Amino acid sequence: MLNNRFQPSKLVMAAYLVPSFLVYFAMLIVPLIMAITFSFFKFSNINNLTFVGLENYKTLFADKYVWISLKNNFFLIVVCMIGQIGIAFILANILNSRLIRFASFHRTVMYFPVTLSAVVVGYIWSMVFDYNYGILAYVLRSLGYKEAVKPWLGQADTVMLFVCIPLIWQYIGFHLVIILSAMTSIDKSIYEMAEIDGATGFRKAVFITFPMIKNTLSVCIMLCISANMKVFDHIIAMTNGGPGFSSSVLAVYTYKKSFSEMNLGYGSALSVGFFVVTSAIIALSRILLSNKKGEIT
Amino acid sequence: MIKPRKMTVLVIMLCLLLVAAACSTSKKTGSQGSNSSVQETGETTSGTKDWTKENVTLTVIHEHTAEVAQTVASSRMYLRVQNEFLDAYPNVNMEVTALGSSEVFERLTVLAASNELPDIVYLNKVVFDAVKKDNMLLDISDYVDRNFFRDNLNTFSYNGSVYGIPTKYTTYNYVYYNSKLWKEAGYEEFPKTWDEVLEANEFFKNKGIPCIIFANKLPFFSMTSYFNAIVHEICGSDWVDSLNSMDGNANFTDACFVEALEKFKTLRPLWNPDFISADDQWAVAELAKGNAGAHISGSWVAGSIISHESVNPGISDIIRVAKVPTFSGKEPTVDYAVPQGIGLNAKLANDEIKKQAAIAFIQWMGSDRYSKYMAEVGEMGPVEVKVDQSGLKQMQKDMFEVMNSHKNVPHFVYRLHASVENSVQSSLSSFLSGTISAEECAADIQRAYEAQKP
Amino acid sequence: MTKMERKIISKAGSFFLNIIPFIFSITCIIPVVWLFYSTLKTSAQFESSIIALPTSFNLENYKYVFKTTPMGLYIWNTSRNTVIILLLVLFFGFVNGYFLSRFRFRFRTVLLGFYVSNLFIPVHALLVPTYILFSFIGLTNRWYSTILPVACMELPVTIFLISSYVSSIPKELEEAAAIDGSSFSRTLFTIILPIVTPVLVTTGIIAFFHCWNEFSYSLILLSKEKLYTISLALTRFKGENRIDYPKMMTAMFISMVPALLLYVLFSKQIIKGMVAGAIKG
Repeated sequence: MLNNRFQPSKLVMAAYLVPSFLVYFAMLIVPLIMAITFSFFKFSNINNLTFVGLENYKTLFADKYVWISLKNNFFLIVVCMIGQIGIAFILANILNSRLIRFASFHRTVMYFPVTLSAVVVGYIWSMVFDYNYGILAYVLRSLGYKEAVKPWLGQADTVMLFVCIPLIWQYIGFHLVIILSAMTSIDKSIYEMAEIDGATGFRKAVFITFPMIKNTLSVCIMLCISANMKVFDHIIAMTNGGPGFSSSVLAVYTYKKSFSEMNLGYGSALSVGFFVVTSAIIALSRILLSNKKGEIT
Repeated sequence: MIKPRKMTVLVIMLCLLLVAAACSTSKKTGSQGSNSSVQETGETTSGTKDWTKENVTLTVIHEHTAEVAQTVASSRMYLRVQNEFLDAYPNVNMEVTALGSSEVFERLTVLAASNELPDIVYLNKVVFDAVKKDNMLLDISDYVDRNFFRDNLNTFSYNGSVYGIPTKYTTYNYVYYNSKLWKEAGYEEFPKTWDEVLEANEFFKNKGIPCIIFANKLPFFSMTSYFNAIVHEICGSDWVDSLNSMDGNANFTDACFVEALEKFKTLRPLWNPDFISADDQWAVAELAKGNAGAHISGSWVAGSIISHESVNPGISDIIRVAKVPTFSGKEPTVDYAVPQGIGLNAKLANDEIKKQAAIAFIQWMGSDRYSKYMAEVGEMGPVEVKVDQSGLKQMQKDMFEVMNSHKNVPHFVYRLHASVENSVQSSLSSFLSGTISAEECAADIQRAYEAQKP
Repeated sequence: MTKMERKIISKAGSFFLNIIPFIFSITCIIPVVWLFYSTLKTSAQFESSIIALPTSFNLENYKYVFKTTPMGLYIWNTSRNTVIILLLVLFFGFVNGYFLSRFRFRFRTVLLGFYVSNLFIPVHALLVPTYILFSFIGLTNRWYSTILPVACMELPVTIFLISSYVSSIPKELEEAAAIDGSSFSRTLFTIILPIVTPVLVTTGIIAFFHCWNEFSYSLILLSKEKLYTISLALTRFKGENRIDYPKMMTAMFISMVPALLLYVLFSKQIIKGMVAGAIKG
C-alpha cells in the first residue's frame, strides 16, 4: 500500500524534510568527509599535509593492536547486548505486571545511572572491584573464598569481563525506558484475553510482548551495537586501556593515536575503519533479525 | 530528474571542493586567528611605539584554574606570577581560558592541528612535537638565557633554536618511605641496593602491607618511578644518548635493555598485587595512612602527605624521602621532566606591539620568581634558587638534597617521538603483568622505534 | 492444591517479583547518595576512607564551589542550550521519524543512510574537521556554537525511536482524518502528535541528559570562560596529578540536582498521560 491517500505533495514533504537534512549534512557529513579525506594524508597540523595514499590503511591492517581493540569491542557488544537488553526486557515485563507496586518509582529511579557521568561510574565500580577494600573482595573474603579475590581490573584475562559490568548496569535503564514506552502501544485487551486463556507472566512476555515490540527491540540492538563500539570514557576511567592493550577498544586506540601521538592521518584512517566495521555489524544484525518486509530499515 | 544516487555523488564532490577550499584558505590566513583581538592606536610601524603604553590583549589557554590553585602549589604560583605581571603592566589584558589538565591539551592539539593557536601557547611534549617543524612557534632564542634554567632549555628546543620555556619542573623518582616502619625493619635509612629492599620485604609481608606500593594505572609511572633509573644503571647514559640520537648504535633489542627489563621484573614481590590497575592518588593515601612501607613517585606527593595531617597527625614528619636504590649499589640517576612550558605563537611576528608584550611576559615567567615561590613551599621550579628552608618539613629538605646531589636526567626516550614513549609504557605494562616476555616487549618497542626512523 | 496453598504460593511469587526490581533500584540510588555524602568530606577525609560516612555535616565544599566557580552561569548556559536543542531535536525528530516510517519516497534510502551513519562515527574523529570547518565559517566561540552540532548528534536516535513507534500506529487513523477533510499538517500535529507522546517523552529524556552532559563539542568550540557548560566546568577541578574529588563531586552534585529534579517531576506527569494514551489507542 504505497502512495497513500493522505500522503502530502512533494513540496510539503520537502519543506518538512529538507531544512533538517541540510543542517545535518553541514554539521556531520561534511566533517565526516573531511575526516575521510584526511585519512589519505600524514599530518600533525594542516600546514604540513603529506599525501600518502593508502599507507595509513596498510599500517592499519598490519597493526596488531587494532585487531586486539576490535576483538575487545566484539566481546563488549555481545556481553552488553545480552546484559543490557536482556535484563531491561525482563525488568520491563516485571514492571508491567499487575503484581508490582511502586512501578513508577522503579521506572524513574532505574534511569538514574544513565544520567551519571562515565567518570563517576568508572570510579564507583573501580571501588567495588578494588582488591583491598572493594565490596566484592570483602564479600568473598568473609565467605571464605580468599583465593578467589584477584586484582580483576589488572589482569589481562579478566579485565574485559569486569569492564562490561558497569556498562551493563548503567544502560539497563536506557533500554528499559525505551521498551516500556513501546509496550504502552500494546493494547491491554490482548493481555486480558490471554489471561482468560490461562497464560502466565512468562508466556505473556515471550508470545505477546516480544513479537509486538520487535521493531523497537531492533532499534535498541542497533543503538546498543553503536554505543558499545563507541565506548571510550568508561575504559579510560577504569583501566586506561588495561594492562598493555588488554582492555583497549577502538575508540580509545583512535584517541591515543590522534591526540597523544598527533598522528591525525592514521587516526582518521582508524575512524574510517570504525565506520566500516560498525556499519557491517549493524547491517548483519538487521539481516539476521528481520523477517518482515515493510519494517523500518 | 536526477536519480538519488547521482545526487549523492554530486553533493559529496561539492563537499570535497569545500574541504579543499577551507584547507587552502586556512593556510593562507595570516594573523587572523579567531581568538585574538588587538586594540591598537594608530599606525602599525614596527619598533617605534612603546608597547607599555598601548593596550594589548594576549590570549592563553592553561590548566591553572582558580579551583585547583587552592590545593596545587604549581597552579597557585603560576597564577601568582602571572597576576604580578598583569599588575606591573596594566595595559596588558590577558584573556585566559582555563580547563582541566588533560582537557587543555586536548583543546591545544585540535588548535595546533588547525593552526589556530592562541598568542601564548601552553606546551607539552606532544603539542611541541606537532608544531616545531612548521614554524608555528616564535623563535625566542635571543630573549632567554639557556644557562639560567635547570634543563638548559633543551626540552623545547629544536634545530638549535629555543621555542619555549619550562613552567614546571618535576622530579619523578623520589622514594617516600615510612621511617618508623623501616626502623622497625632494622633500617635507619632507606636501603641503597634492591637486594636489601628485597630482604626487608619479609618484614612487610608479615605485617600484611606492601613493601613498596606501586600504582601503574597511568602507565608512565613504571617508566618514571623505576625503569628510567634502571636503564641508566644497566645500559649506561651513553647508550641512552645514542638511542635518542637514532644513530643506529643503540637499539631496544640490545642485550642490556632486555637485561634491564628482567631485572625490573625481579622487583615484583615488593609490590601490591593490584599494581597494574591501582591509582597513584590512592597509593599516596595508603602511604599516608601507614598502610605501605614506601612509594616511589614525583615531587607533588609531598603536598598530598602534608594535607593528610588533618586525618593522620604526625604523618608528614614520619615520611622521609630517599634516593632510589640500585642493583649494583652505585649512585642512581634522578629522573626529571619538564611536563609543561609556554611558547609564543609565530603569528605574533606580524604585530610588533603584541610581540613585545608577549616577549616581556615570557621573560617574566622565565625569571626566578616562580621557582622561588615554589621553593618556599618545598617544591621544585625550573630555575635553581636558594631559599630559606627552615619552615619546611624534613621530607621536603630530603627532596632538595636528593635532587641536588645526583645527576638529573630526562627520561630515557626524551628525544624520541611520543609514539615510542607510548609503546614503552604499554609494553612495560603488558610485560609486568606477565602477558608478554622481555624479548617480545623489547621487540614491540623496537618496532615503534623503527617506524620513526627518518 | 487447596485454595490456601495457592494463595500462599501466589503471595510468595508476588513477593519475589517485587524484590527483583527493588534490588536493582537500590543499586541505582546508592551512587547518588554516595555522591552526596562524599561532598561533605574534605579531600583528606575522602582519601582516607572512600565509603565511610562523613563525621560531620560540613558544607565547606559548597561554600568554596559557589565562591570560586560561577556555577549559576554555567547551569544557565547548559540549560539554555539543552532547551533549545531539545525543541529542535523533538520537532525534527518527530517530523523525520513520521515521514520515514509512513511513506516510501524517492530519497528515503539516502536520507535514512545519512542519518544512520551517525551511529558509525566516533565523535573524536570529527573534532578536528569540525573545528576547522567552524573556524572557517566563523562560528566558534558563540553562545549558540554547540547547538546545531549537538542537535544533529541527537537527531538520528530520536528519528529511529519515533519511526519504529509510528509504524505500530494503524494507518486507518490518518485515512479517517483525510476522509474527514483534514489537511496533512493538521492531521500530523493534532492527531498523530498526541499519540506519539510516550516515545517523545522517552526520546526527550534521553536527549535531555545527553545534552546536559555533552562535553566534546563544548570543549572544542567554546573558549570564552563565560560560555562554558557544566561539563567543562567540572574539569576545572582536575589538577595534573591530583584530583580534589570532594570538590569536583560537589560541583557534579550541584549540576545534577536541577536535572534530576526536573526529570523526576516530569516523569510522574507523563506516566499519567501515557496510561491515558494507551487506553485511548
